[in-house]
Amino acid sequence: MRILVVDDDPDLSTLMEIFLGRAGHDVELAPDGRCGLRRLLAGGFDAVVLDWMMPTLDGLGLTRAVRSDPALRDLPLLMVTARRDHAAAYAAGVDEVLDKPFSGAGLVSAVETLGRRTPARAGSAS
Amino acid sequence: MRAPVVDSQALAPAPTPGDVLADHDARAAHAALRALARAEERWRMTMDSSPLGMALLSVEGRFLRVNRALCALLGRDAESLRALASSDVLHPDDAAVAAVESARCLSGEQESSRLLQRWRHAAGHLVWVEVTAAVVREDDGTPIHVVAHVEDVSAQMEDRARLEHLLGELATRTTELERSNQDLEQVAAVASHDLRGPLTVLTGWLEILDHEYAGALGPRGRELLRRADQASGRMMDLLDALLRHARVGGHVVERQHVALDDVLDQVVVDLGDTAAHGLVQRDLAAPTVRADPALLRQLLQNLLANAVKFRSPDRAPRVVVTSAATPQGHELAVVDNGRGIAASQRTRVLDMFGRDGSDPDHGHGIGLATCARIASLHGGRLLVEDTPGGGTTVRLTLPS
Repeated sequence: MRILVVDDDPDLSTLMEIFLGRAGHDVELAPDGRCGLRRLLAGGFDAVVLDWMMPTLDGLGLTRAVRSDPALRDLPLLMVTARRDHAAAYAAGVDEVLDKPFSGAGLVSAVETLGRRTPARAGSAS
Repeated sequence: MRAPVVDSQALAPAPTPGDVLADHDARAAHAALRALARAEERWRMTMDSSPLGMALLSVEGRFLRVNRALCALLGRDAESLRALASSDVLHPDDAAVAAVESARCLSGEQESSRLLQRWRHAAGHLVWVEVTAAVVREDDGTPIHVVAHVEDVSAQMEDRARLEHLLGELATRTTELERSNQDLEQVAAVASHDLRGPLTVLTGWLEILDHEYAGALGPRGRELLRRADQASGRMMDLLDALLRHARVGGHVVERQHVALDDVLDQVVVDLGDTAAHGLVQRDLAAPTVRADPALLRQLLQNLLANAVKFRSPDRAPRVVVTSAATPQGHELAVVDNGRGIAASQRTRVLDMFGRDGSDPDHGHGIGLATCARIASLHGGRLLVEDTPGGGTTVRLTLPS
């Protein structure tokens, strides 16, 4: 899978890149929501892992932007967060929420489950 | 009626039958006058012996007669008071209400009035008085004068002011305390949230280290890695507990009848310790209690987790949950035969981070504090005692 990781924490981004890369996925990084949206609009991603709290455009804003774009609307979105108000994330349109801290196996499994569950979405964005 | 006081013998040289009659009239009049004077004197004595201030006032409010208590209350003699009207001693701020009440009484709209007023003492200071007044009327209803009882209530007013001040102070302190509690909860929630990010990074790097470099580390290196991983796990538990503690404070308690068997079934499943299933026994004389289901579950989860975790190395673990109705409500107890808590630590463990610092395996010191908080949110209490023969008994009292 080609996965975009959108997170402003460079450590966490690198970590997720390693975890997902080790599982055979192709990972790109974006340091904030606005950058992430630009990358997504360029196309070619099968899933997005995104943080909630980020500068310029936060995870909820990015989610709403993705869901309102006809080309990106069906892209699988996994939010990683330490926040507990998951309902707000689901209301914005994410498919799944993964609590911090998470293990490498937990992250890979969550992304892959999402990719399998929504195969039609994965194709439509590319 | 006029009463001429004259020497009748000096004026009349020779008594006639008419004179006899006149003499009789004069004596009767004299006797009536004396009786009137006696009645007047008795009335004056009655007024003066009253501990309450008393006054007769004209309908315009001038003092006609006053008693000793009123003179003392205002620091004036009767003569100087009779030169004044009640409005001369009344605080201007009380005048408007007094005028309205007085008009109502005089018009017959109301029988009497009772007012709290400030009257000016001759020395200049104000005296709080309660004035009860009524209008005395002719048979045809025409007002003759006003009778008033005046009671010095300065002491009561001072007490009241002091009480009001104290109540105000209490309200302020309570608000401050609530705010500071909220701040504390906020800090706990934010800290717990913000620490999760770096903790994710830390555990992640440890995972990668273990995954990619474990072979190169050697036994000593792997042992250190395992310890670091354990420590990060403990930190995670601590953050969770901190967040739960903060959340309990913001929880709105909704008490309802909760079946203890059901809650205990859930809690034992949640404990996830297979040993816990056979370990926890029940002796539930009261099958239901009135409590907030979510908080009660959290409380029992904490207590049972502690009971299961802190086993004694010397004996097979046993935990009994009991319930009973009490005159005040209900009592729940979790009785274990585990390691026990030293007497010196027993009250401290209910405080935040009040755990025994000498025992690193003895929990992070938030769980029991959270339980105590849940108890107090229910208006109840949590007590920690020794189990006879060894172990800890935690009692929860819940008022009905």
